[in-house]
Amino acid sequence: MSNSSKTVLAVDDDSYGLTFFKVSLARQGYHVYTASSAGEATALLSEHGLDSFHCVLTDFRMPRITGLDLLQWIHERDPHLSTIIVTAQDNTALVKDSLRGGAVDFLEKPVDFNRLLHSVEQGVQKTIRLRKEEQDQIGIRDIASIKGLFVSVSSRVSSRLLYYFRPLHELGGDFLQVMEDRCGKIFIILGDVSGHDVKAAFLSAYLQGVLRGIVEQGDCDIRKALSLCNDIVRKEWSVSNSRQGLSGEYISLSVIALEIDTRNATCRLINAGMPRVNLVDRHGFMSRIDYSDEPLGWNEKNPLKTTTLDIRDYHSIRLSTDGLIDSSESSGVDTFTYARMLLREETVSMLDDVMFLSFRFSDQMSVPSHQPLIYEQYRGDEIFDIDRLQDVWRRSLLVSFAELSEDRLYDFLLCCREAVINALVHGCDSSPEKVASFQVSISQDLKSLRVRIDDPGKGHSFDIEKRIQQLSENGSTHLGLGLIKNLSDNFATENNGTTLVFDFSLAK
Amino acid sequence: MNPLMLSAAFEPKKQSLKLKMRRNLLSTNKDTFVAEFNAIWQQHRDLDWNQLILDMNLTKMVDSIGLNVLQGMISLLRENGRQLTILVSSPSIRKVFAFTRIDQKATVIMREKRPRKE
Repeated sequence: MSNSSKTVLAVDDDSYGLTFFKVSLARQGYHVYTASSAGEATALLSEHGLDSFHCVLTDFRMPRITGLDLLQWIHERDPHLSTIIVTAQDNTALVKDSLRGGAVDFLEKPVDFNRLLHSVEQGVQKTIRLRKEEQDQIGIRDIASIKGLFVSVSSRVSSRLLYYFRPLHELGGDFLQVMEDRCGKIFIILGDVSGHDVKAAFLSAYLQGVLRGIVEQGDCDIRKALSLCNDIVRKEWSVSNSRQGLSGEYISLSVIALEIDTRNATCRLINAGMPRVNLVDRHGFMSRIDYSDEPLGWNEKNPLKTTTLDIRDYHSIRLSTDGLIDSSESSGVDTFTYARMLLREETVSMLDDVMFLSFRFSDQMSVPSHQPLIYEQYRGDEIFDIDRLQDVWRRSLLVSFAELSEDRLYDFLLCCREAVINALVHGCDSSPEKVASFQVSISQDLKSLRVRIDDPGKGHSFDIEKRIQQLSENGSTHLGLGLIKNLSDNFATENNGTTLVFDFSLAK
Repeated sequence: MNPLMLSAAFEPKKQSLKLKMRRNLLSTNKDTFVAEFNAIWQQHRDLDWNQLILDMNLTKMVDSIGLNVLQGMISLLRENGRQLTILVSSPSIRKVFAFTRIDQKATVIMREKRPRKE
């Protein structure tokens, strides 16, 4: 932008000073207005509009209305318009007042020519930058207010979908598309483009458009559709120059895509860089699908890896972006507990945009008797961290059941502690290579919990009930299981003792 | 040693040694408990007392490993002609002592909850 489009207003009751300013700045190409008083200045600004000016240069000491008063008048109406105060030498107090009042700079008389030009140029650039930022913010708010741009759900399947989206930032790359094609297949695409800015939002919208277009064409192969997106991100948008080195512009898309065929009871899954997906069975128990791949943009596989799930015995599927995991970890509660808090609209701390959803495969299967509250998988060596794990259960229960007595809370924690210790020590041999799962579910009537622990051990052949009854005077290696049996309700073992299940009434 | 879990007070007139516990007794801190108990035992073993009073009023949880440690204490005291009295305030711990029959080998005294002042 040449200086000819930049306009400066010079204000001074001294005509020589005013002439100096006008001639000096005009020579540099500025369009200069002059005023010999603050009153004349305000009239000029009002007549032409403050947004017509890029900088105001004003003497401090003027009759009736000072330069500081003029500065205040301008600041109240347009805080982005840069103002420079010109003052006599050695007036430190005035300098401080000026800068506190919003002036961008001050000049001491006699004004040096080069100093004048530098100061005005800085002031002009600052005005231009601040006004542009304000326009950009308005644009961002306009984009963010468009409903359906980042979450789009087909009305034909919306009754089977429960989702939650809470952005931390005004714009970002999270999106959700739920579509049904002409063949009756359901496509759920949960995506997260890297970044939380206008660029991420644009890229997210672009990729959604590509995917939506492919699905609505009919007979969509979700693997091919995402492979196309992977190629776009990897080959067109994230390109290094081998001569110059890193470009600094790298983009990735984390995505979970489900292609659900309810007729054949199958679900094709692609998980590229997202948290693991969880299936919920008819009893409310979860199983984690231990499958994931790199985000799109990093992935060099063509075609992408997929897995097909048999969903005949499953009630629903649960997905989330990593924002849910990060925010729940920071809050010190389990992920599913945190999700329930969000659904109850409780005040929680968030680290990132959060999106999660649950999709029911069919309307025929009845609602499970229990809903997940805690679901974790622990490595065998996490036995040494049992106190920290217990603390997460404690906090999760306290936020879920404010009325729970301390007595009952510690009964529950002791049962879970003993059960998890048993699984990690005996089932996993305290090894980092082996994993046990621990889940707590709440009954529909909210009166009892159901705990289930599965470990990968070989199990045992002895009668556990007899062993528990024989708690001897010298203690017992099965003392822990005895504690669980006595403190809980309906304690049972399954799968040769590698699964423990017990209920826990909250009201006792 | 700066004790983390136990502090001791010998009461010669009552012929008792009182230990106050400050933490839960769990698998993750039982080694600390044992080390501190042993140091106290060495100091007081030959003094004239016949009752060890273990004040667990601040303790909210004892797991199976902790119970085994208590069982070990009971056995050690018996071998030395002494007895254990345990003070508890947690109903959860009281229940656990009941069905593991620790309350048949040691005297367990439950602290009554004081009614709140209106």
